[in-house]
Amino acid sequence: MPRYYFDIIENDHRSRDREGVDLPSLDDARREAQEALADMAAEVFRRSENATLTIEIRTEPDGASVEVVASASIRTN
Amino acid sequence: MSKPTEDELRPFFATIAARDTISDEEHRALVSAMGDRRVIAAGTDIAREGDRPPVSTLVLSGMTARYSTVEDGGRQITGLHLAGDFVDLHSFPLKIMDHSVASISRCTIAVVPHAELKHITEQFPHLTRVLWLLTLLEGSIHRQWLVAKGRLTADEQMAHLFCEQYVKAGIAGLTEGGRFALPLTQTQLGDALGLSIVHTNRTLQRLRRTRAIEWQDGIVQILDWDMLQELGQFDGSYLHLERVPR
Repeated sequence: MPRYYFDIIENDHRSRDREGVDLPSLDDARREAQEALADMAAEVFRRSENATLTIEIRTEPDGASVEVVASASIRTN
Repeated sequence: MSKPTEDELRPFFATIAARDTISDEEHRALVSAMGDRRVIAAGTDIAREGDRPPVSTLVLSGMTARYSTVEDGGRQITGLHLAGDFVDLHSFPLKIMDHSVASISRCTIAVVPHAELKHITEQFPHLTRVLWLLTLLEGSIHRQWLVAKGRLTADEQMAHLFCEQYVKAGIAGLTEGGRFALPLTQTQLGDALGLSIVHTNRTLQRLRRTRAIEWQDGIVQILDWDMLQELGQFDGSYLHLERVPR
C-alpha cells in the first residue's frame, strides 16, 4: 500500500507529517483527510475565533503536496 | 488442552489483590473454575455480538478489544483488556453479547464455564462480590472513556489512554522500568479514541514531541509520568486501587 503524508496547516503554521499512513489509494487518503478535518475543526474552532485549517496530502516524505484536500475556516468578527 | 498455570494466572490474582484480599480457599475455587487454556492468533473474534457464550474468557497474555461496528463499517473499540482481565464476565448474567471481542495480538486465554461461575456465586458470597467488583470496574472505565471522548481534546484523551493502560499494566505486574506492551496499530488506537486515522497520527506525533512517552514496536516507554498524567488530566481513582474488604 502506498504511504500518504498529511500536513495540517493551522492558520500559517504547518505541521509536517513525517510518519505518514499506509492507505490503499489517493481516494482513501482524500476521505481520511476529510474526516480528519471534521474531527480537528471541532477542536480548533472551539478555541479560536478566527482560524483556517487545511490538510494537504503528499506522497513523498519530503515532496510537494499532491493536493489540497480539505480546508475550512471560521470568522466570528 | 490444559488448564492455566498459577504463573499464567498471576496477573489475574494481582488485579484482585490490588482491591481486596481473598482466602486460600477462594483462590483455589477460582483456579478450579478455570477451563482449558487456548492460544489464539491476532485478529480473531473471541465472542461476537449476538452470541450466547456458555463461558467467560480470561486473558492470560496478550491484548483483546471490545468493539462494535456501525453501518458504514466504522469500528469503535469500547474497551481494551490485557493479561488478568476478564473480557466478558458480564456475559454470565447478560447471556447475549451486545458487542464483539477480538484479539489485538496473539493471546493466551482461559475459558471459564458459566456453570463454574454459577457454582462460585452459590458457594462463595465474598468471591461473588469480587467478581461483581470486576464488572463494576469495567463500567467505571467505560464512564471515564466517555468523559474523555466527550470533554477532553484529542491530545488529552490520548494521553489519558496511555496513562490508564500503564496503570492497568502495572497492577497486573506487566510493567518493567516504565515499559509495557501496547500492541495496537495506529488504526486500532484511533478506533479506541474515536478519531480518524489522520487525526490519530497527528495527535500521536504531538504526544511524542512532548517526550512524555515513546511507543515503538508495540512497546510503550514512559519517559515523564508526571507530564503524561498532566497532559491527560489523569486521576486514577476510578480504577479503585484500595485494598479493602468488598
